[in-house]
Amino acid sequence: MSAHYPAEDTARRNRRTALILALVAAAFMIGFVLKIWLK
Amino acid sequence: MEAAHAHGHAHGHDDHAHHPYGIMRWVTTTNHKDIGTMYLWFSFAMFLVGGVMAMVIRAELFQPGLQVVNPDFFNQMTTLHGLIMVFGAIMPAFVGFANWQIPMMIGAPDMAFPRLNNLSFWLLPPAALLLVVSLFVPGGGASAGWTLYAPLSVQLGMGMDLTIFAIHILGMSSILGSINIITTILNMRAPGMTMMKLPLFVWTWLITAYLLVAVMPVLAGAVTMILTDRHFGTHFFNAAGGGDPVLYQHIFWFFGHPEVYIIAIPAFGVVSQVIPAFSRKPLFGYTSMVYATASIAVLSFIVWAHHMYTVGMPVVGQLFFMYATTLIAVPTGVKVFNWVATMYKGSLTFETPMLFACGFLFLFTMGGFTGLVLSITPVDVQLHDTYYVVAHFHYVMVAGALFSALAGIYFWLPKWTGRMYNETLGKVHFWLSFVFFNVTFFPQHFLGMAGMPRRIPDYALQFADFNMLSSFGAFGFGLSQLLFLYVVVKTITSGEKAPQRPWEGADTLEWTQLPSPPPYHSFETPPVVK
Repeated sequence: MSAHYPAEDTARRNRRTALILALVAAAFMIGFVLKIWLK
Repeated sequence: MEAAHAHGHAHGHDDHAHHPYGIMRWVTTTNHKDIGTMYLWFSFAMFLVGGVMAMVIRAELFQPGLQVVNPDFFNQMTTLHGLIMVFGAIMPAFVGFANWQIPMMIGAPDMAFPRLNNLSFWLLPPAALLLVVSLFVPGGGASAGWTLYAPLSVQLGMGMDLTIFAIHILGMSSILGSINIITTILNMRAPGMTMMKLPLFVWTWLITAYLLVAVMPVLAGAVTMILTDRHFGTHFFNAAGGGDPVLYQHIFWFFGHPEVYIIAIPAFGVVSQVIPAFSRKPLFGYTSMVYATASIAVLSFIVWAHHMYTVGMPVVGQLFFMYATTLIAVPTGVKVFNWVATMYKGSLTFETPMLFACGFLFLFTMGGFTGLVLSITPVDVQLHDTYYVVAHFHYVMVAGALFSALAGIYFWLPKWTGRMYNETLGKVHFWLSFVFFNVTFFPQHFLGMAGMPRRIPDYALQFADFNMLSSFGAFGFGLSQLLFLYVVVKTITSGEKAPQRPWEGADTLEWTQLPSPPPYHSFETPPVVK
């Protein structure tokens, strides 16, 4: 048997998904702190 | 089609169990099964640590008056019991399930980011160590309750700083784990495994992981603000400096209420696998289950202030949060209806996993009903901070989440280990847990309605009888869990060999496609799902 994936395109898509999610997480944290800071 | 296309030939993964041996296997592993196993053992260890703290609490409350510990240490016990059980025991247990099951259920070879997965796990032990060590620093551990309310948390000693760092690390672990889980589910499904064919356990984890990505950073922000208030001269939560302690409560519960569902939703997922398997019927209303779970997740963002009815808020605010909270009963009702309808006219058998699932169904529904009682503002004003609340959330957390986790462990243990557990001992474990759980927590409803406050080491004489009963039940419940440890160890060391599919009603990929135990690397060639 051989490993068919993560194939290149899946790996690239995985990295893109992770980046988007990390940005969402960062936005939530920074958004909340800023909202309170600028109150 | 979502799944990766099979192309090319990778290089030599013919040796299926090629990995270092001894301790380095576990330190360096990137294998989802190894990491899942570590999560589950870690969670059990934390369950025992948090359980010992619960025993200290119940020993102190066995009789009125101060008996065993001083009040400050009692508060440290309630705080750490909560933090350790939520972040150290229940959440890692379900992440352990996710690691083991998601790749096998969707036909993927592993998680999307195996090394990140290793990091997510290995962040946990240092965080747990910080929490436990905080008990031994000057001033002792955090004693502000697991919610770490300001201004108390701003004033406490060094143990609070360690707790804050522990939460940072735990939050980091959860966010990384969630990113991994979402990416795996979205991108790594086998050909033919469309979203609406996903096993419900996978759906519940997808939704949970989105919740985690949204709210863990908010908690991290909140505790960081406490840290800066403590050491860097800010006044976020200090009224004397223009801040507002109630603000902390809003931020905390914006995290804290979705957190309840972060724990409950994967528990729903496990039960949604177990009940159909032992009813020998497909899950009733699969699509409505998916939408109900998503609705619960969305609603969980707009109900946070029901934890704060007594801090003072406009009537319009109280009404909004009351109605929004009662609204959650609708999708939850859909789920309970569907589980019961799955059992209706099924060919039912009651092996241990099914017993725990039925225990979950019955007791979680009770916890849900008391939640509905507490959602009513004028009632909550009476019951706020009483033992009624303690009873309510232990019905949700213990009989809900823990029973579901135990159902899942008995259900998948034959798959994971390749060995069957002892059915008689499993059933004894269930009945001991079920009876002692109710002996512990049912009387606490009465205590709460009679006005006994939570987080207090002493109480008035009229509460003595129910407290003694509750402590008796707690010791019994704690001891029963040692039987569980024995059953699991005995299964691993000397259980009878399990067939590929010991439960004839179980029909997800890990049962139909993989032997028990599954090979170290499974689904290197993706299965085609029809």
